Amino acid sequence: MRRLAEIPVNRYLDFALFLALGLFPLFGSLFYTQLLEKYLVFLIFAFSLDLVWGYAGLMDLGHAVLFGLGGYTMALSLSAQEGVPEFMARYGVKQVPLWLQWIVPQPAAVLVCILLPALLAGLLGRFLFYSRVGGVFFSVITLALAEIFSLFIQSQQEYTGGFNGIGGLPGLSLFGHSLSLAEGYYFVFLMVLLVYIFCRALMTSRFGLVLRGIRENETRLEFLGYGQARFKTAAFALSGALAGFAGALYVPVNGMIAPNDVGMEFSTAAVVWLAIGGRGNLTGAALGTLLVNVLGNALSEHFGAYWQLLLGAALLAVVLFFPNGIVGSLQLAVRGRTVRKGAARRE
Amino acid sequence: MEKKLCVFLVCAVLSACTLTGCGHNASGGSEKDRPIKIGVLYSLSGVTSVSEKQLYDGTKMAIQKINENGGIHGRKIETVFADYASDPAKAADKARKLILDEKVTAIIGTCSSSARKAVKPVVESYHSLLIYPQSYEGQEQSKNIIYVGCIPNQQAEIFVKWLLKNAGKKFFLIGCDFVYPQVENKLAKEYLAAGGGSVVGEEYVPYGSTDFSSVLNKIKSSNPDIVYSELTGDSNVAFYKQYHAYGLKATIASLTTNETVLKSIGADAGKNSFICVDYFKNVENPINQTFVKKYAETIKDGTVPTYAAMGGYNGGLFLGEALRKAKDPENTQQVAEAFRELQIDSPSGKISIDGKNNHTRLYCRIGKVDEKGEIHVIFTSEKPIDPKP
Amino acid sequence: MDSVLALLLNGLNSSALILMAALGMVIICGLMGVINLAHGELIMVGAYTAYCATQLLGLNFAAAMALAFAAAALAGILMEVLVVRRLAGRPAETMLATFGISVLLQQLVNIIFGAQSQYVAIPIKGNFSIGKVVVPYYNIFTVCFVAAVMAGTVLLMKKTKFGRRVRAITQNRDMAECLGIDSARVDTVTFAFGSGLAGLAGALAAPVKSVSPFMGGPYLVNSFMTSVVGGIASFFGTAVGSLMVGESTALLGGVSNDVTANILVFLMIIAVIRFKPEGLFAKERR
Repeated sequence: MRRLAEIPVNRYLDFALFLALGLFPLFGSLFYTQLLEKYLVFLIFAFSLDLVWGYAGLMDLGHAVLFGLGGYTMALSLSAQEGVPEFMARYGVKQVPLWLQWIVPQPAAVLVCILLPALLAGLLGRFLFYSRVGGVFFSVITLALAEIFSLFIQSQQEYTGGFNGIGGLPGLSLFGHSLSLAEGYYFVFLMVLLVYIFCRALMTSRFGLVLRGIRENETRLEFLGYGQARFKTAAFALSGALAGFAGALYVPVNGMIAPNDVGMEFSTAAVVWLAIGGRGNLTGAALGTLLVNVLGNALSEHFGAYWQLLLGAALLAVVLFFPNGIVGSLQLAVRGRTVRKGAARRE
Repeated sequence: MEKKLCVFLVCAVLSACTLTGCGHNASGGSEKDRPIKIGVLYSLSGVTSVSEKQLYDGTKMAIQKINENGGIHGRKIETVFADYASDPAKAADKARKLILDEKVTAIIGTCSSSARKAVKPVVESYHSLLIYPQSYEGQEQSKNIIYVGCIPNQQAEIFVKWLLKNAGKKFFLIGCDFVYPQVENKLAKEYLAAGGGSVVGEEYVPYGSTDFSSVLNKIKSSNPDIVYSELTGDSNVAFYKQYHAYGLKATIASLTTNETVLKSIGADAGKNSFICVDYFKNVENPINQTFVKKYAETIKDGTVPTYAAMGGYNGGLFLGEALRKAKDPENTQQVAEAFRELQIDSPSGKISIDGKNNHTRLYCRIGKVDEKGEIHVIFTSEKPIDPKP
Repeated sequence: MDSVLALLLNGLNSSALILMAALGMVIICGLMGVINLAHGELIMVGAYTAYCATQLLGLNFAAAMALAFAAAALAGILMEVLVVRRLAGRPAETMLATFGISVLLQQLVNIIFGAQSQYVAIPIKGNFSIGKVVVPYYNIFTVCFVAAVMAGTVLLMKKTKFGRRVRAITQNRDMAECLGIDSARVDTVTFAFGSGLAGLAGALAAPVKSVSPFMGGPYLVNSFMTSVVGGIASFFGTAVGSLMVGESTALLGGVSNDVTANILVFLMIIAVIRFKPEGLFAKERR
């Protein structure tokens, strides 16, 4: 199990990535640190998507809905700290609604941010997986959900700020002390690390193994007594909780949330990160997220539509020629080499 | 073997990070001939890209004009472009990049209110300056934002009065479902109540919706004289087309239609409708004639200047004047001061900044569309109208 | 009474457009199990072809429709041969690849034509009224045309040799291959046909909707909803599904707004899936 060759190459990569991310604020400019802080939040979101897609084999094309539920809960909570927020007052809301009063205290808000998306994912899983809806139909339904959710958010203007979203929100704070940029960055970094460790542990646990088993051969696992629906639903709900948590972090880091962040656009964006980076090993999720976002930020100015074109082409190329993504292909290459070496030695 | 690979990877990732961190280079040269940097922040992709391309083209032409005429006391203006892809959160990111990394004196840009609202806290916290070129719903003021587009009291108020006098009393209000149309319609109702008109219906469709059949039958059965519209983007285009197919008789009066939209809907669907904005391509004055010609030579994609292009152009001209007036054109504070009561000769007329609220005194114009899809300016306010945000 | 009639008639027109958009997707998915995320962009290709044909080349609308079918079918053939075929048996990857294609097509059109909406003249002008309800002749044309296409497609599938092959492959691909059916060729032709139908949908919508690079999204979502309600492999189900989606959006749109209608339809879909996982009208198939 623990032969050197068996320690996957991606662990080294993970180490390098986290090292680089951890050291970045010491070298990077103010702006890039702030930007990277946001991408760190995206990492949590990408990990949560990897949980359902990479490990459970369910391509969720509406994952941003879960992210958005967390995000909007947090945004509402933050905006209602000092009475009725401006966007509500505009529509004649005189006092903070009762349900909003409950989530004004931050611990309650964080709890709801995590539980609400988990609940939605759980319910959806309860309906879909127990009816044996999986594969592409799961993707189709989640995509439709994403579109409808963003329409819904846009239509509920007195409570969500509609098309304009909720903005002007305060930054990260901890126990009433608002964090500086560096503190905030390291706080988010710590969260990413914790989520990463949690996901790793989860995936090497029995739960993770069963999940992967189901992905590879559903029928066999069912024969062994592992109900696919139960495991998939649990994985989806867990992933929802993480996505919601990412949303809750995103809002103070970003200062705002808008329907763009909860619909088809952001959902498919995350799917692209994972497809390019590789899935089912967390490293790919991290690498893809950083790569696509950093490149996108650097290139979109000078190439505009051509950057999108390039992204589309890259996605197509990855699916056709490197179906395991960058990290998956790298792993295969390294493993292939060690296998060949081992064979040579034996001879 | 894999160890080497890993060492390599660690190095690669680290160096990539440091590179992105210190990617910008300081422009050299002496104080006198170093260009003045300004940020240009528009989306050339995404849902609002149609309007923003026009804003961008307008701004580009203004800066080009200033540079061709010798720049600011001999110094050229250098624009740093950032594209936020119609995503307000990205707009805030890019504004931060322009201010912190590129160290621009001022930013000209953003289109939708959502993007402006996202950028507002950024320019305020870094004491920078945003020139906002688009018309919007008003009700906002900031000492860090100069508003160049028109607001309801310069557009809707006059339009509604004029329509009541010249076109009819019964109004049907329609818009996309977000803040701008709702504020505009709320104000329109107040203007109507004051002027003796009535509202026979009010409808909002989701942003981007293109199916109007039920709305059109509601319009038909409520029998208005005027369909007063703030639909935007694809919804606006689809509405005109379907309105025409349904053969409804009431006149469409729009606050958002421009020459580009008219081209998309065709002359048949657009004819006899009214539009109220601060500028049309067919405004008659010598400055505008030169401008329209120059626009066709510079932009070369077959489009004609619209009020959005004019907003971008005016914003650029104002900024140029302010830079010229400021003692140190790289001191944002002084540039912001210089905007107070600044006046320019624009193709849309002699317009100026109201120092009380950082909005612009603009002309109000009403156009009527003829059978060929051309807009005839049938009303122009006697003088620029004071903004009351 | 009038208003209900008005809403029903409006709904019929929207239903027809939804059905036209969904039909191609259902045919492709039924045969190959492929969900094409670039379906909306094929509709866009059709709409832009109609624009080029009528405005740039000066052809009439009938020719424009034929060209739209051909252009989208050609795009479909390219997609099938270059991408989809290589990913046979991997539906999730295929879906991902088609998403890449959709981005590519959007941006290509955006770069070539610009983001602004394009003008396509309405070929049939005028309208008539039933009481207070206005019905444009073009809506009647749309409904009739879609009905004809639907009937033609059903005939093609039930009565012709090609249709029999398609059905054979749908039921059992391996067995059909054993019997000497060239399944690769049938796949390509079916993909082309389904894509062509999407192109027709685009041309049909072009005069009354917006023609822009990003117009495809909403059509895609509507097609999804329709085909899931109806059972993804059934024509009849798709027709009923599109009627349900179109009419309920129109009827509910009359009393509240489109968003509520959309949410209700979605909830209905979830319920359908829970209690009839194969869709409302699909035959039992294991």
